Amino acid sequence: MTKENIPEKLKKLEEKIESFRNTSSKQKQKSAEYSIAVGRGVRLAADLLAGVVVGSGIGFVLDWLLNTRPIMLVVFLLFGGAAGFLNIYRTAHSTEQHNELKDH
Amino acid sequence: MSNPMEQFNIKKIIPIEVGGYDISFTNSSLFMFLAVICCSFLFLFCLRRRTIVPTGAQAFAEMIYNFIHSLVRENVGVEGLKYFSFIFSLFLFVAFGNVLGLFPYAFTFTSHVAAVGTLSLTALLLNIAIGIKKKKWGYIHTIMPKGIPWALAPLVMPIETISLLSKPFSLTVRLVANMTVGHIMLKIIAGFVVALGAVGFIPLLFDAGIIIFELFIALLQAFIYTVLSCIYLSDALHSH
Repeated sequence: MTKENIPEKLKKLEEKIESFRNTSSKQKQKSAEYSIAVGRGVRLAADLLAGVVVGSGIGFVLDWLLNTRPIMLVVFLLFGGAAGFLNIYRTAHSTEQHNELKDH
Repeated sequence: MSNPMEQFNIKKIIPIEVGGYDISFTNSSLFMFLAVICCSFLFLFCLRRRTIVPTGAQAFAEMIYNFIHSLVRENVGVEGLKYFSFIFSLFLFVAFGNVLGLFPYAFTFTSHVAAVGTLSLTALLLNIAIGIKKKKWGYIHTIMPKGIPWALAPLVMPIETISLLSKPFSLTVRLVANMTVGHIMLKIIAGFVVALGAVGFIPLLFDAGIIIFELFIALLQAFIYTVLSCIYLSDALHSH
């Protein structure tokens, strides 16, 4: 009698473990997805900021060297903004491509 | 002690001045030294008896090595393995800097733009050097992409140049901001422990939780810093 019961019990245990595994891995995946999304958002923000700051920094130094305050600062601030958006576009584009590659 | 920014002050330990430049040995330099010594000793200790079937300590060292090895291979490709030693040192230095900073009375040099910025600039210069060495004059296409009419060069070239130069900046800001914020938060909450008196154990428990989280952040940020340096390296090796 016990011999017949063992496989059934094992099967039940297996099912239990399987269902537990599924739920816990799903939860883990959710939290991992969340942290990846946050990381991506912060990265995009830093990329935009970096463009503007580096651009205006170059403008400031050029002004200081050429004594043309504030023309270069204004011009390079605009260039920096454009570079920031270019950074964002490239980052977003590359992550999108990466995701597509992963999905297929 | 109540000032949360006090922990980021740089103090001179051995004042040195050469030719009008202040090159003193500071607490920041001390912890950089400690980071290098710690990771050297960790690897010397773990790999003191090298066997084919690794023991526990050796397996730990090999795990870190394999982790960075596969990271470089995935993000840069097989040709990136030439620069493996650079990436591996970068990871260890940043990771140890972050983790050592979590000890009481320790100084976190990765919370300073000057230290991390210099690391990032080194990585940028290395990338530019590799790019020029590999593509010679073709490297100009990094700041003037193919297929763009030369009439647009005055507009495109500054934008692309700023985009290239801003990479180490965003890399630096991300690491520095993460480290600074974490340490300020720890300090402020620790300040409540004394201020609240009898119920001070609540912020203490909270701080204990945060420090575990900060340990995770310290390793994660070192990892992110390494991954992004790898991505910039791969841009230099095989870009458009």
